[in-house]
Amino acid sequence: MNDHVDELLALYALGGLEPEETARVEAHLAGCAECRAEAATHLQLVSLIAESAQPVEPPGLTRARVLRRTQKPSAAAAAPPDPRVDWWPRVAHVLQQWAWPALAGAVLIALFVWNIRLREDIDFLQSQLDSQFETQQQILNDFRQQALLTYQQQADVQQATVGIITSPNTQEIALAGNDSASRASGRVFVGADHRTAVIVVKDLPPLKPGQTYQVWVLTEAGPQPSLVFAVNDSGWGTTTVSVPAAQVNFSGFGISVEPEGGSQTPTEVVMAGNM
Amino acid sequence: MSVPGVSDGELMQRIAHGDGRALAELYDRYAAQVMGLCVRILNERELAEEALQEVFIRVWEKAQTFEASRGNVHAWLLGITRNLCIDQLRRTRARPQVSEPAGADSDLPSFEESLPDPEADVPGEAASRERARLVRRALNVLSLEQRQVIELSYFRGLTRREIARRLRWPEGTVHTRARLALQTLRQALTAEGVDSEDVI
Repeated sequence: MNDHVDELLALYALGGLEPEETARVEAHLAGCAECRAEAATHLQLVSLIAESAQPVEPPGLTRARVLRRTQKPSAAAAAPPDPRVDWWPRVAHVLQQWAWPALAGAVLIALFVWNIRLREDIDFLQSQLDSQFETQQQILNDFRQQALLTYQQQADVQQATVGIITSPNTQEIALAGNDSASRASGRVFVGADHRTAVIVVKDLPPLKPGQTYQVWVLTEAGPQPSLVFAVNDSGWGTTTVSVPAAQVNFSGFGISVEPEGGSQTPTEVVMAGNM
Repeated sequence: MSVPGVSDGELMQRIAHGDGRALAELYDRYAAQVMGLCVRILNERELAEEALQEVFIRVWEKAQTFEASRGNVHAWLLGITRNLCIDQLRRTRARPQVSEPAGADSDLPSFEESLPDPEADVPGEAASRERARLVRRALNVLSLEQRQVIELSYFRGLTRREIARRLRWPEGTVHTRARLALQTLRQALTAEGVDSEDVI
């Protein structure tokens, strides 16, 4: 029996077999102690190869993110949907009842509510931090501080967005869909200094798995890549982008379909609009 | 905050019972090494950071399935890391818009090139770092073909057929060179005083 797979075991340990070969080897190993022992020695050796990679210190925030995601998993799984997370469908419904003239107001309300929620979260975390500071171990304090920072950053972005939409100096750019997104439309609310833009789109077609929408800043040097964003089931989406200083003389904005993670040059432009 | 008196196995038991502080301790011990492997495979820091998070989330979720009798925590962790990163690489390769990484056969990195910066403040046991250095030295003893097999299968996730196609080798040759690679590596490690049998 050993003869059937022993020549495959080195590549098996290196993870280089075809799926059907892997299945065959594993079925064989389940019943063959001799091959199992040989496979184990190969796997031991391969684990040393993994250790040859140069260690890289990860950013401190990654640790906090990991620990945050592991907090109270069972409660999270069993709990009903959090109404704070589920705000967008309601906002989208309201927006769909009203045409574009009402858009800025509706978005403003949603962002304002979100901003308040984030501030409440910050207050809650801060009060927790204050009350437990004397007794918590430093490791937990580090986590809370980092979570606090994350919420603070989100709140700051939302506050900046509200400021742009409410400012009398804000400029608006209409976005129109092309043939592949003929029903789509949108607005870009541009801050007076041209450094921040709030983009709201509707009726964008659903994406295939592994795809994302991406914002492009249209400049004399060509389209410059900006943030990626998603739309909900109804094709509504919003994002706030920071325009680099070198691009403040932009002529407009575009939206394209890109592979997950975004691209450096647009793949399939579906919407655009100029000043 | 390191707790040197607590073994990895004890940490895993505590993680399996939902102890977040034990996960934090395991993270502090191995995050730099896991991140290093993620960067080595994915070759992009942002993707590597995401993968690093996923690795420890998976540890949190799968801690109860870890069997101490079948290997040590360190090797288990690196195995999870490698598999997760390769899955990510294969998803990326499946996209027509994204080209494959630069030709593995022409720009194969020297394992010595990945030597850590001696000035870098990377946490970890000195013995572990020394062993990693010896492994890199042993890998450089391998022939170009043997290193290609390891690079393309282990670090780039290519299968036997894909390796054969890329390097224009008969498929059977891939097996032969993989076997010889591990055999040579084992001998080189023994010459360096590293006993791979003691690793797990």
